[in-house]
Amino acid sequence: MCNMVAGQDRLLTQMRRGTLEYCVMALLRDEERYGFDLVKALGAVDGMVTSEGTIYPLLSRLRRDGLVKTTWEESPNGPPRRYYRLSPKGHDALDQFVDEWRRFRDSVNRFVEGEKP
Amino acid sequence: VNETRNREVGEYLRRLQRSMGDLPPSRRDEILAEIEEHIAAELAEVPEPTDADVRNVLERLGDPGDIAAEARDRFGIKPRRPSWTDPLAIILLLVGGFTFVGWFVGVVLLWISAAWKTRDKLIGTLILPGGLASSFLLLNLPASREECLQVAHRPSTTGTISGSVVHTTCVTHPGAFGSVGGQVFLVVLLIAPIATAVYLSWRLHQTRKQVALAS
Repeated sequence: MCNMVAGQDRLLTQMRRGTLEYCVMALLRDEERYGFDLVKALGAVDGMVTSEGTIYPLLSRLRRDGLVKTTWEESPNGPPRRYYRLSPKGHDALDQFVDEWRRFRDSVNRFVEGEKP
Repeated sequence: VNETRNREVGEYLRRLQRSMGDLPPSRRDEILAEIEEHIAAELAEVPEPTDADVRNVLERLGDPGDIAAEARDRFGIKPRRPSWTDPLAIILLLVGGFTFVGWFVGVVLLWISAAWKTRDKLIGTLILPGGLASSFLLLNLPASREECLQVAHRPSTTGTISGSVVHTTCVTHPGAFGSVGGQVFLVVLLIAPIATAVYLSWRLHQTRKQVALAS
């Protein structure tokens, strides 16, 4: 990693940061999740999250933007928990991103992987 | 174990709260509550959490300063950064008005600074434009004004004396600060710029503490 071209490290961080919110939304596409589960699911994938705590500001932001909705639900032990689910607006935003992402991914792959179109 | 756990978790949450001191309270509280819950859920999964388990959980969560930086970034809040010009801004806002342009320089320094929130900057600018110089200017306004009217009477009935009698009538108009309410207003005018300077200094001190904590 020490031989990385200047700025490459930053680029990778930026790419991770930029796509993380869509990964969160994708996790919520089919089911609602408790914040803790969401963080654990993201943390389990290599290279997505370095500090688990940084997911919570993102969740808060998504909620303010109306992309996810939250509901309080009773938990078997302890206080009620906040559950996150994707809003209709969030579904639209995710679908749009997925389209763009596929196009982008294919375009980059065509060069870096030498794939034929 | 329980005591150590509570102390370490408490310390972590306090640091997080302080690091997020410049975030809107509702967002700060939301993130803080979620992370507190995260820690509780994490520790609930271990039957007998040891000190090492607690430390592990906090380490995986990450440094409070990093979480606060992430929150600032996600919400588009510029990190507050104090500069050597900040104390100068406070002084110029207070007494710069005596040199006239001094106060305007103070306003510019206040608004380009990254140490205060917009609300603080508005307070600094509006209470009181011109600072103490304006207070003194207003203090020198006359407390009351006397108006005299001279009316010359020519006695017409007798017609014997050729001279005329001059009547002088004077009316006293109470000035803006003649009444009790006006006096109170004057005192407020004098205190307001000083109070603002104290407030801005206090906010600056808070920002400095927070920055020292984050680094």
